[in-house]
Amino acid sequence: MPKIVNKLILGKNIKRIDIEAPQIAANFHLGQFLMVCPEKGSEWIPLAIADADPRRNIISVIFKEKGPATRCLGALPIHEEIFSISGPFGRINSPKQFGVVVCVATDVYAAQILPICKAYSRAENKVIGIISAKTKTELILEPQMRIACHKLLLSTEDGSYQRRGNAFGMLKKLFDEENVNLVYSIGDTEMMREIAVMTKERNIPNLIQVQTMMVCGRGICGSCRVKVKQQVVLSCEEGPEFDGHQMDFDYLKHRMERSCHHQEGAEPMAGAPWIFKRFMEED
Amino acid sequence: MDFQAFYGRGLKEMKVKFVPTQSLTKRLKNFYEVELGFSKKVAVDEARKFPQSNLPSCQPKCPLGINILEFIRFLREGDVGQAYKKIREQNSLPAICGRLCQAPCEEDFVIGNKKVPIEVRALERFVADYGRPKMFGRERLTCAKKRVAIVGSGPAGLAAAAMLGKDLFCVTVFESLPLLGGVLRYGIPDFRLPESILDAEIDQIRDLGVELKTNVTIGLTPSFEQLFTEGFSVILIAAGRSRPKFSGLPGLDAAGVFYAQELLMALKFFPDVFKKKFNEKLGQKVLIIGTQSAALDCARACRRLGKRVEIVFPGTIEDLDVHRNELKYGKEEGVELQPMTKPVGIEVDDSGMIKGVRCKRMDFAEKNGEWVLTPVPDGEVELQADSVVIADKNMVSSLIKRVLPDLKFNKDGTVWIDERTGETSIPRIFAAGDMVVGGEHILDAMVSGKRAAEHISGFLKES
Ligand SMILES: Cc1cc2nc3c(=O)[nH]c(=O)nc-3n(C[C@H](O)[C@H](O)[C@H](O)COP(=O)(O)OP(=O)(O)OC[C@H]3O[C@@H](n4cnc5c(N)ncnc54)[C@H](O)[C@@H]3O)c2cc1C
Ligand SMILES: Cc1cc2nc3c(=O)[nH]c(=O)nc-3n(C[C@H](O)[C@H](O)[C@H](O)COP(=O)(O)OP(=O)(O)OC[C@H]3O[C@@H](n4cnc5c(N)ncnc54)[C@H](O)[C@@H]3O)c2cc1C
Ligand code: SF4
Ligand code: SF4
Ligand code: FES
Repeated sequence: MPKIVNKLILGKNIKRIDIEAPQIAANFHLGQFLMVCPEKGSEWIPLAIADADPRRNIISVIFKEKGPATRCLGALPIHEEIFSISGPFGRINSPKQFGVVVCVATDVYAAQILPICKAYSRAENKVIGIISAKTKTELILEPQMRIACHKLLLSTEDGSYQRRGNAFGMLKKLFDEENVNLVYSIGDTEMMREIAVMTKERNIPNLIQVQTMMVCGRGICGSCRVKVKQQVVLSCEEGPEFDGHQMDFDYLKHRMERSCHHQEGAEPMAGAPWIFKRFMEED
Repeated sequence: MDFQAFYGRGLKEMKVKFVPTQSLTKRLKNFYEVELGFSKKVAVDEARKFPQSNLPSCQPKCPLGINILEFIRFLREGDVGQAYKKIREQNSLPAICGRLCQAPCEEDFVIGNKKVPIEVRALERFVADYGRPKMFGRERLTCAKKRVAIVGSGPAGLAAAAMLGKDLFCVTVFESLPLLGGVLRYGIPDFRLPESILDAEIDQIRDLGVELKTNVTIGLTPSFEQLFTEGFSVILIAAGRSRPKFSGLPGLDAAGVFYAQELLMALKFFPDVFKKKFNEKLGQKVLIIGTQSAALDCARACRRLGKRVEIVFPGTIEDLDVHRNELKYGKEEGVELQPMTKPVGIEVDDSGMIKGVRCKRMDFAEKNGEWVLTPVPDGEVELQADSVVIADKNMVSSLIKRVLPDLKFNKDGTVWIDERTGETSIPRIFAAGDMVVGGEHILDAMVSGKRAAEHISGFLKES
């Protein structure tokens, strides 16, 4: 079973773990994802491969502790074994040379944009990264993004760090300064929709990654379906990268909302020791 | 000899001996196995009812080639171990067939012109559960140099692996999921096939010296070409048909539409999460569309969550593709059936939640001298529902289609294979299971797995 070799806390509820998985480290492509099952009987979590070091047989994932499954993963200590990791899944897309590529992400989705930035830098593009979050503590991966991008723009919605504003505003401003050839966006559905509309107006190609609810990650269950060009496709097999201009965002929102709607009722960490619950309530 | 007269008196006494089950009130509250199986006394008694003659009119035929009369002969003598060995000669997953097989063999028990009600399936199950050696000497057989890769560990893959393992080839099974068994693992709920039984059956196959690897998706990493360069002589694809088919039924976009596999998979792999999450998402009334076993399984799983359940399908009850016992249990548990009803659209209210399903009643009408199902004029009804589960036929995964663009398909979506050699349109790649037979039966999948194994072993011995 794959073993956790290192664990870092990057921000509020955001963790990075390094896992020993030689098979995956040797064979993965940037932009693919894994299905991680922290222990038997727990949900499988789709997580993007943020980084990999094939020489040390290590892959890293960065995740935010949202619900029971991710909390379970975050609670595993170093040297603990993870029940199962399968993958890498997702269609392999090799990045081409475009020129100027803007990579936009909000919150924890920075974890998913980081490998994309690296891949496009390697394909000899000028990569401009934009990451934004609600507050300073939720803004993550700044140092890593600085290395991966040629230029990095940061913003927080409450103005607690760098500029005040959101990713969309910054992208709009950037369009006036630079001749952008491709926009790659990962974030919540509304942000991706706005960017898709804006880039379509300006005739700039736009790629997005969707985070639909997934159960299997390999084309069996159908829970990750999205609509592209009026056709229903599975985002775990045909995606998660899609052309933003062809995505049916209403349908996507539907699929995402459905997965959210259970969340209100769910009590955090049912069955956890009381002391944990107190911690949870505090933050 | 007049067999009718010979068995005449016996036949009258031969009533269907039902397999004991969990009581109804209990089983609606748990997910444990419903059928409890025969006790040894009952099983032996049941076996003694069998006509022990080799008369041609009563030759029960098992598609897998199990010699039924032979194993029953051992059973009536009380020698369960020998009976088990007899079954294992032809069937590498007896405990599973003994639970899930559609049992075409039971149709063949005809003496004179009277059908004898005999539960071969239940006897097979008894033999498999009791006759399995408790301590196996590991028969790791030395391998020949030729290596075979099998993609997918469903019934087809396992049956082929067992055959090839016995033939002393070096077999490796690759499974994409973290646990082995294909549909048996991710689809069929615990109340029909307990996980421990499946584990035990797979252990038996592992003991033949077959290597089983999980968490490897062939096509992504490694690719099919990589397998050949790693030294595998042939590849057998038994990847099943698991990808849901997205039909054009209006309203399928609505929230609250699920596909059967999503429910069943969640139930199998994270039961606690399933009970919590789906309890809320499914609402009070679940409508299931489909005629396969999967539809009934979903229905029974939902009943165990306390939902009201209705299965809607255009055909008659006979068109339901399930074993009669399962149908009986389902009905007992309160699954409602709506036969001769064709769903034509899902009704959604303003907030995007499902209101109901519009259906057309069907009936037989004469068309060109044949009786065909046609919609009744003005026969439209709206069935109320909070959520809809689609348990329709599936198709071959698009990953296989993408990474093997040369693979030839038949018109009905099954993989084309050469009848004579068993090869697909790509040399040294064979196929078996649901992707080839296109049916929805474990038995068919296993038969095709065995046939593919024969083809492969012939191919390897020649080359
Ligand atoms: C291709 C892909 C890559 C992803 N990469 C990352 C990543 O690198 N880092 C990261 O932090 N998160 C990533 N996610 C999102 C992550 O999978 C979810 O946050 C996680 O599954 C939440 O599970 P939970 O049980 O802890 O939370 P829950 O309490 O179950 O839900 C919390 C929220 O997470 C979402 N969610 C829940 N289950 C799933 C699921 N199975 N699939 C998708 N979303 C779900 C829901 O919208 C819900 O609102 C990715 C998702 C996808 C589809
Ligand atoms: C809910 C349900 C109930 C059923 N009940 C019955 C019943 O009562 N009686 C009956 O006779 N039949 C039943 N069936 C049908 C029966 O299960 C199938 O016909 C049978 O399992 C098909 O076997 P298979 O080996 O062809 O494929 P599967 O069992 O589907 O196995 C294929 C395996 O291959 C793996 N795989 C796919 N692609 C790859 C890849 N690229 N790399 C590695 N691995 C891969 C998959 O993960 C899967 O595990 C039922 C089916 C379902 C869904
Ligand atoms: S709280 Fe105690 S028992 Fe629980 S994980 Fe931490 S050290 Fe172990
Ligand atoms: S495998 Fe099925 S058909 Fe064959 S003997 Fe058993 S129950 Fe009958
Ligand atoms: S996650 Fe199951 S089909 Fe995509």
